[in-house]
Parts: sequence; C-alpha cells; structure tokens
Amino acid sequence: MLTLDNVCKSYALGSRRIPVLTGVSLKIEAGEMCSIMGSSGSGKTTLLNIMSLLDMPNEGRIFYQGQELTGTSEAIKANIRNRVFGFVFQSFNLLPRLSALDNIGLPLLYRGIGKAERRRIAYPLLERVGLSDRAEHLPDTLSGGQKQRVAIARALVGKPEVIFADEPTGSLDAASTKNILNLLDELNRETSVSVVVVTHDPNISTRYARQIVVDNGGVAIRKDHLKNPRT
Amino acid sequence: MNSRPHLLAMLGIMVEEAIDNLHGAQQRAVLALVGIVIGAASVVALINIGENAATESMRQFQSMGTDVLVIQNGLTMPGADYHPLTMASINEMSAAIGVVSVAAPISSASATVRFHDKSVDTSAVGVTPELVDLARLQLRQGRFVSEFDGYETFAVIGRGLADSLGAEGIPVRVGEKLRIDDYLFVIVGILENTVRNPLIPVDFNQSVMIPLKATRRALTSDGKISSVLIKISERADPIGTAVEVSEYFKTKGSGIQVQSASQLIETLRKQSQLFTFLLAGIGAISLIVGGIGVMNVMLAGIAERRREIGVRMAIGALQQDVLTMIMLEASALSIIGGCLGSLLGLMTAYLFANFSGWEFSFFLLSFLAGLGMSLLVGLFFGIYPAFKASQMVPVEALRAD
Repeated sequence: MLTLDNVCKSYALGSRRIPVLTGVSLKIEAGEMCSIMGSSGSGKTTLLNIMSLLDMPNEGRIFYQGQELTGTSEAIKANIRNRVFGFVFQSFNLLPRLSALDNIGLPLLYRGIGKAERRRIAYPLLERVGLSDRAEHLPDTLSGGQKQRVAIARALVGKPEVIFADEPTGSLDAASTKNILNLLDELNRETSVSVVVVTHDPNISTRYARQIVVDNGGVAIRKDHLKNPRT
Repeated sequence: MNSRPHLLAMLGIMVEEAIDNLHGAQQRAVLALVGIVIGAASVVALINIGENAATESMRQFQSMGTDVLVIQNGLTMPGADYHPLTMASINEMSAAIGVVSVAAPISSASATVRFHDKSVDTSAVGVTPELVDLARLQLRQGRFVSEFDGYETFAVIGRGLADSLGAEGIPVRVGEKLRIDDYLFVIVGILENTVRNPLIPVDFNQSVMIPLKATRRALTSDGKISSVLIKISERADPIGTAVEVSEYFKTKGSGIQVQSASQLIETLRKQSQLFTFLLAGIGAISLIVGGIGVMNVMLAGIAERRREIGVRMAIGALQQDVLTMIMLEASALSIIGGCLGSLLGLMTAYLFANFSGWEFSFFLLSFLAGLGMSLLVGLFFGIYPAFKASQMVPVEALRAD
C-alpha cells in the first residue's frame, strides 16, 4: 500500500551533510502492524516523517497505492495526510483550548465539515476510547493516558488507512502504556487500520510481528511471529 | 480519494473556527481589541467633533442670510475710467440679470457726532428703509428711517454709539437732538445691539444712520453711494448670482466688487473640511498604532501556537488554511474593535458637543470611516503574522517546545 524506494535523507550541519537514511526501501501493507525500532538519534522519527509525508526525502521515491508522491504538490500531500493517515505523537499535541471532543473532530475541519457535524462524528470515537464522560474537558484536565486516548480517537476520526504513532507511550506510566498498546491492537483488529509504531523500547517493538530496525542509516526487517502476543 | 472542498465553501467553517480561537485566547484578544477600540473611537470622535464644530460656525454665518449680496466700490486701475456705484447702475444691473428683489444703498462717511458735551468720531451712514430687512436690524426704541423722511434731519442711532454718547442722568433718547458735524439731527430711533456682519463695511452698532437724501446736506459723502446690499430672489443661487453680478460690472469696466455670505460660507466650509481631515488624520495615526498592537499580539500568539499550527498542518491544513485562519482572527478582532470603538467615539463626540453647547448631529460617514479603517488596519497588520504562520514547516513546528 505504502512503498519507500531507495529513500535517502541527510541534514546540513554547517558545510557538512549528515546522512540519516541511506537507501531505505520498504513496504507497509494494508492492515498490518509493525514497529520502527532504533536507538535515540538513529533516524526512526525521520523515517516516520518521510513515510507520513510530513517530510520529503532528498533522494528516492514514495508510492501510495502505486501513485508516486515524491514531487507532488503540498495540497495533495496534505489531503493524503488528512484522509489516509492518522497521527499519534509522544507529547499528544492536543490543542489546549479545544475540548476533548473538539480535538477529536479537528481533522474534519480540513474536509470542510462544520463544528456541530464534527462533534457528532467525533462522539462515537470518544466513547470507543472510553472517555465519553470527558467530552467537554480541556486537555489540561486529563491524565497522560487519557490525553493519548483522545489523540488516538483524533487519529481515527477520518477513517484512515494507516496510523503513525511516534513513541505513543513515551510519556506514559506502565499501566497507561499497556492500555494504549492494547487499544492500538484492538483498533487494528476492528478496523483493519495499519499501525506503524515508532519506539526505542525493545519490549514494545517485539509485540509486533514485523519490526523495522533502523541502524546506521539503513533498515533491517525482522519477522518474529513467536513474540507477537496476538499469535 | 476525495479532494478537499473549495476554500470559499470552507470560509463559513473557518470564520466559526477563528471566533472560537479568539474566544479561547481571551486575554490576548482583549489586549488587541483595546488598541483597535481606541483607534476607531478617535477616528469617529474626531471626525464627528470636527463636523459638528463646522456646522456650528456655519450656523452663525447662515444667520446673516445667504440671500444677500454686498456690492461695493472697488479700486480702479490707474488711468481707467472711474464708474462710481449709483442707484441707476444697480437698477440697470437688476433689469439685465433679473434676480434682484430688494436693494438697499448705503452712503457712508466719517463724521463727528456730538451729544451734550460728549463727542465721538464714527461713521454716519445714509440709508433707505430697505436696510432694516436686509441687514436684519432690530429697533429698541422709536422707528427706522422712512421713505417719507426725504431730506429731513432725522437720525437713527446704533445701541453701542448711544451707550458711548449717553452719560449718567442724560441718556440718549428718542426726541433728543444730536449734532453730526455741523448739522443738528433729531433722534427718531435707537437700534438693538446687532452682531457685526463681516460682509457689510459698516458696523451699525457704532454708527448713526440718516436718510440717504439728507447726506447731501450734511455729510462729506454728499450722497455718493459706497455700497449696496441686494437681496436676490429665493430661487436664485447666491454664489452663481454673485459671480454673474460681478461679471456684469466687469464688462461695464468698473472695479465694482461683489461678495455674498454664501461665498464666505463656502470658504469656511472648505477650511473646516481641512480641519476635519486633519482631525481624521490624528485619529488614523492612533488607529495605526492600534493596528501595530494587533500585529504584536498576533505575532506573540503565533509563537505561542507554533505547535498548534504544526499539528494543524500535519493533520491536513494547507498553508492557505493557516493564512486564512490568522487573517480571519485579525479581521474578527478589527470588526469587533471597530464596532465598539465607533460607538465609543460617537458617545465621546456627543458628550463633547453637549458640553460645548453645540447641537449634536450624527455623521454616518465618520462611523463608516471608523469601521472601514479599523478593518483595513486589522487586515493589513494581520498579513505579516498570517504569512509567517503559514510558512511554518510542520516537522519543525511539531518539534518546538
């Protein structure tokens, strides 16, 4: 469904260029769950940003369902991020002045859907993540785990095909971490949404059947069915 | 995959969003509002006060009568034929142009007026009965000069002059005699205090008036007409007629000058318009300062909302969406500020007029100018912050802490 072909990315540091990704090729299939694993600074977030069209590679190509996206307009990329992708961030990134329900509905704003309708569509997702009694709460009044549930609901509201989660449990305690990871597993089963989780934690990475390990600018794919808790 | 709706279709939703955002950032919004409110209020108040002041001074001039022209002997070029003003020339002009309804000739000369043992150097004026109406004179005692007075030595005296000539126990009264140069005159009337009309070369309050024909006997002016007040018919345009009369005398080769109250009022109106522009300019400066305040507040808000803008862009907002959002927020601030400020400005102008004893009139234009200018200022100063916000790269904005 989503294909990276020989992607390279480097950053300028003064006159030097620091290579981060050197010739990465990989595929994300519809409905699969996988992890992107690597040590701090290995380039796993850069890889995620490129996969999710938040950033563009210096070289190489990206395809979504056979359509090449490298070199397309920002409007097309924004539209794909809005309709095909969902985002979950380590620091939640909820808008502090919007209620939980309005935060969930936010992506629909950029589809031209009015506020009342956005709230109507968002409410079942708030229920699904178990926060129906927190609809009008501002993010500041929610716990870390609750904020991440709201963020996951926001990622789901547009019925995406892929959820990109960048260290989704990085700011959570052990109990919340377990809850959030279980929630992602459940959502994958219920809706067949693909889930790509970036983590530096091997215990989380090994939950998934397919692990993309980023190291030294390249990636290695590890398939480890035995460690997948679902099988 | 569906493409997104057209920007215009999204505008309503974006406006709703902008107002929600401002509502969420109350303190920031209130600060920006104050600047715009004060700016718009000064524009509206200053324009309104300026216009009210103009109307007020205009009203004073209009009380002189806009339908009166004053024709005077002017300077003639050396060597040119001298054509003094005469009643015959006025009648000819009247017949030619056909807009004159009443004419009142004046023959003015300086004279020494003596009453008992007091004497005053002033002007003695030969007049006809028509003057009462044209110069809007009012009598305090007795009567004015009449057409039956002929060459009689009757005098009407201005209130100011009467006060100067009278003394404790010997007031100037109707029936008393006074001496003008070498002739004795009987006082037949005393005028009420009159405000001097700047068009007429005589201050009736400080003059003594005698029948025009009597000037031949008594005064150095010897019956020569120095100026003529004419009242033009109601339908005629005062300024146009003044020009027409002036042209008429020019073709006759005489240096006769024509002035109308309307001309003065027109000059005054232009001056006060200038004055109003000046005031509006001062108001505009404070509005611009208010606009800079809006820009400041919007920029601070954008720095604070870096991450929010990053999130919005990540989940599908385009540069134009961010641009529109910030512009709409700035516009909403300016419209609300402009409305509140314009109302405040009107109230200020009303209070100012009230305390100055003027009549207050509402100038719609000032209200529209206040509103329009605050919207323009808000939009203008919203452009830079909006542009800055829209240029953010989502990856970098998301990284910000």
